[in-house]
Amino acid sequence: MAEHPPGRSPLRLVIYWVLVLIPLGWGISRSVITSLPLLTATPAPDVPRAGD
Amino acid sequence: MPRLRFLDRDRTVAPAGYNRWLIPPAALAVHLCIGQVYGFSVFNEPLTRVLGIDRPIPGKDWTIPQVGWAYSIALVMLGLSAAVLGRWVERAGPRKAMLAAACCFCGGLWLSGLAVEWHSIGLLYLGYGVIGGLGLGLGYIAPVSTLVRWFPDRPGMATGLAIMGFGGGALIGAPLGVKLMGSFASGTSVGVKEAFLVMGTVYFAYMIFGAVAVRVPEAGWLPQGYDPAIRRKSMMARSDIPVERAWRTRQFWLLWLVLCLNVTAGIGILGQASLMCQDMFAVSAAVGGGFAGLLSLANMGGRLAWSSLSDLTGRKVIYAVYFLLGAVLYALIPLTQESGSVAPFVVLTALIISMYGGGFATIPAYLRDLFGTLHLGAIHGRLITAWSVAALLGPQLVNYLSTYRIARGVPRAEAYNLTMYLMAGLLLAGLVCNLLVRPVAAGRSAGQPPDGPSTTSAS
Repeated sequence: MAEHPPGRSPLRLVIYWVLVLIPLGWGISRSVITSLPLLTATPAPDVPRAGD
Repeated sequence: MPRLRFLDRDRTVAPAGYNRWLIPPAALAVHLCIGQVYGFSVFNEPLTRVLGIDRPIPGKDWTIPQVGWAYSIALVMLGLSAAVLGRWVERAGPRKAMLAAACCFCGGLWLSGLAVEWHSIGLLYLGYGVIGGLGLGLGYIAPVSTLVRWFPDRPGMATGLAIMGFGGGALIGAPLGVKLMGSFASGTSVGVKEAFLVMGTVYFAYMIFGAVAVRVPEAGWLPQGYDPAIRRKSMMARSDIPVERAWRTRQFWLLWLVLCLNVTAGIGILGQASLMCQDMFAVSAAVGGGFAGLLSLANMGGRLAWSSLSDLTGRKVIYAVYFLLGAVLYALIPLTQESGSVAPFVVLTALIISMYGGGFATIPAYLRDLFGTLHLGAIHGRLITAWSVAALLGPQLVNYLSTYRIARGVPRAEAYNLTMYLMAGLLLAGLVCNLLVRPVAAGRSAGQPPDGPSTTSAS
């Protein structure tokens, strides 16, 4: 494997970014899944709401 | 102690040719962890039945308002610790500050686990609120000023990257907390204690990775091809201004108001998003929850996108866009309610919240333009007190106004209209403050020139 001077290794760069992007990607995907009901949202203005 | 020398600032100076793209993951690792504070609400309800397990025992179990104080204390401590310890962060360097942040924030989570075990609300306040909040303040400012030093050519993108992590932390912390509580829940435990302990341990590992990976550039370092004399814009400081002088300038307090008004106008809506959507459009709780999730994404994405855009437009222009466009969009929201259509409402609010996030992320770059890079951490720390004030003001304003109007007989669907106009007014006040910002007079500058030795006059 080729030697790289300190702070120049491409492998190190990839590992660093993967370490933070995996949890971030998981969080984003969870949030997108949570947001999916919005796609099917239909307002029902005639339905009485609690407190009306 | 000699063994701890590796924590010193001079031991974190990067060698020549160091790849600066190794630094954003270090900053993100810390911000993704401390951003968990925004997801604390998932623990609220389970914390009210620590003794009763299935349901709260009145008079013995904690109440929601009691538990909510832990979150409020943490946010207030974030502002206070950033303001008080900002100078220490600059002096000690990012590695020591990030290690201290890891010990405080994760120690706070571990103490919170003990607080649940012993059912001590005081220990929860001390652990999550005071000690954890201290970690929040340290962890918030240390990576930001470091990234600005590495990206003097793109400070908006740099601060956007770090502060996007804080927004992203909520997206991770909330579902992780729910999953862990679900895994550990049993007939004798609601699973909160175990969730706190596991999260404290996992977050500690991540934050330590950030502290070990972080580096500072050597003095006078500039990215290849970047000449600050050519790129200098009219708002930029000619030299670094110490925090003692900076916070006595008109510009500092105008930016304090800019941040406070921007955050107040956004945070109130963000906290009430789910309920507001249900009230205004009579949609289900699941759809309301989906709306809150979408706003979290807009908040996170806006931090990187708008802040990066500010490198092209300049900070003053981008804040004028946040405030002016934000005010117009807020004023349009009541019309979407009248039309009965959810989609325009969702699009408008997502855009507003993206600019709210953008406002958070762009402020350190604005400070860097006005006061230079050298004391940025300390100055940013003091400015964050505006966030603490807004965190108390914003939700109260929205809660009070909507509750008052409903009590006066206004239909729930229309109860938020006045709030929207008030938020638009706050943003217009912010616009005025932003327009009043002028470059800091040369007489205020007394340090070394920012971004290297050049002292070329403003263009």
